Amino acid sequence: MTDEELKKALESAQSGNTSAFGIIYDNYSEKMFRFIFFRVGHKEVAEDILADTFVKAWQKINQVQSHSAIPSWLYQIAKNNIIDFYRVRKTTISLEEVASVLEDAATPIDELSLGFEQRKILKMLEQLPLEQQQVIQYKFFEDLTNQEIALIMNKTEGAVRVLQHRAIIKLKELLKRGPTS
Amino acid sequence: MQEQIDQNQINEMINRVKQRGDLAVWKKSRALSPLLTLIVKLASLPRINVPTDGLGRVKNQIFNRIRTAETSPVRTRVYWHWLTTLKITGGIMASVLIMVSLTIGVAVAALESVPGQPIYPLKKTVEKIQLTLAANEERKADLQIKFAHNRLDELEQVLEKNSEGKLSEKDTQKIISQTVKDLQQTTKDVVTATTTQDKEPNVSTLTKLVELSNKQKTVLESATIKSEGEIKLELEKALEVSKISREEAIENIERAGLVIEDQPITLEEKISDPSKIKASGKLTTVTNQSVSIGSAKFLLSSATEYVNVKSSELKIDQIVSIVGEVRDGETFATKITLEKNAETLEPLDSSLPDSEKNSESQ
Repeated sequence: MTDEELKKALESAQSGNTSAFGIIYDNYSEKMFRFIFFRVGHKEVAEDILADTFVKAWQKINQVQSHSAIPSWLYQIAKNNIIDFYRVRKTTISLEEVASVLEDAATPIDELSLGFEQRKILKMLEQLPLEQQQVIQYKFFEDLTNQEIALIMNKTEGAVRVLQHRAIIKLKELLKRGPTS
Repeated sequence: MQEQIDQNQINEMINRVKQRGDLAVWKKSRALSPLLTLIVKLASLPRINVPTDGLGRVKNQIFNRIRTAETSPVRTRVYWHWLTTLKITGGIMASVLIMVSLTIGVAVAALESVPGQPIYPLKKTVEKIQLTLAANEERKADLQIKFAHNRLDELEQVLEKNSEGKLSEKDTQKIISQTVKDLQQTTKDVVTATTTQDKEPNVSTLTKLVELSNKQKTVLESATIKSEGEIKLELEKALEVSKISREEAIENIERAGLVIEDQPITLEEKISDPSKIKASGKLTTVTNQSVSIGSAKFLLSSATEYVNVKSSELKIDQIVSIVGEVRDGETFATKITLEKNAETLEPLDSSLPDSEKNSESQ
């Protein structure tokens, strides 16, 4: 979908056109679903949260200033819904875990299909500082943009680029050096 | 500055790899080529298959919810004449439905049905018609509370069927999810009805809402312990909503001014019969036919029992406990106990033997 089409869809949705909102849903639902699914690890739960996210998005559609802000705004709503989901489950999950829910995402990598070299890369990835690991995961495994990653991690896009750069350099060094204790 | 260039180069390399663009320029560089290789390897790691086949169904759910929200009370007020027409049509439809149903015995079966049974949708239809025909908001709130009790009873029956192996996990989860959603919606509707009315909150309705929440808590907690997985999750969500509605109801009762020495109007915690009400507080109105604590009005009858006081001795500012019963939409006092006298505000000695207390039946 082009920028112009998205802009028109947003304007139309803001004037109450549900079909136009459907276009926005079609454009972002898969990406949002992937984001939610990796954080809750269950299809039906992720679908419920996705539905809640878009219902809230519709209710607050007039708060969006520009079509370029739509993805960040949707991620923000989804993020809050995921946190709410874990809050409701607080009888079985501690509050500390709720706070770190977004960092504790399930891996999107199909570990059973990994080759030797790929397994080694994944193992080395675990030796990176947590934030560097997260940036690699968001960028490579979840296909998020720097803008989206910045929003999820509460950082600037510049900070995301720095983390990304450091993660790649460090990973290269680790792979060159081989396994360490 | 060198790091800044590298950051941008790496960022550009990643984007180019993901977009499957031309990488030739970096392949030739001795410094950047190994980084490029690593980036390509990272980008080609196998991903798990994300099950996105339900996105179309989710879209339908979203649009259903959006459409439901659009039929708000504000809109119905604007189109009140439509509502009147609808009520008349609903009345005719209800009459026809009841006549037909009674003839073939379906209505009785429908009212006894539980989710999952083919006849169950009829039960919900009858409830909707009853709501449409409700004479006023108070009656509507009472009906919603009654329906919420129905949902709880159904929930118990469905869980029982599941535990007996008569219903599969998948079907149980589906039914529970829908029932819990209905329950949450009904509870929210009652809370909204009792908080947005222009007039003073109806304590009788609020009290029944608190009782409903207590019953929800008991039923849902018990069911949560026995359940697992997604069923447990649905029940936990419902429990949370139930807790919030209870707090809101109590808050509204307190806001209605029914407070005695920092103690809110007392609500019977374990009344099994939803038609029973218990309230305590300062008498604000006393007549031959009725007494009131704030907006909670109790009608007096020949069956009213008086403890520590005679009926003729009741007066404003006395602190009493009243047990009431709702019959035909009106609340009758079944037992009035004087707790403190208006003059002394001293608690009465509850340890006195019954023979020394003033006790009479009218």
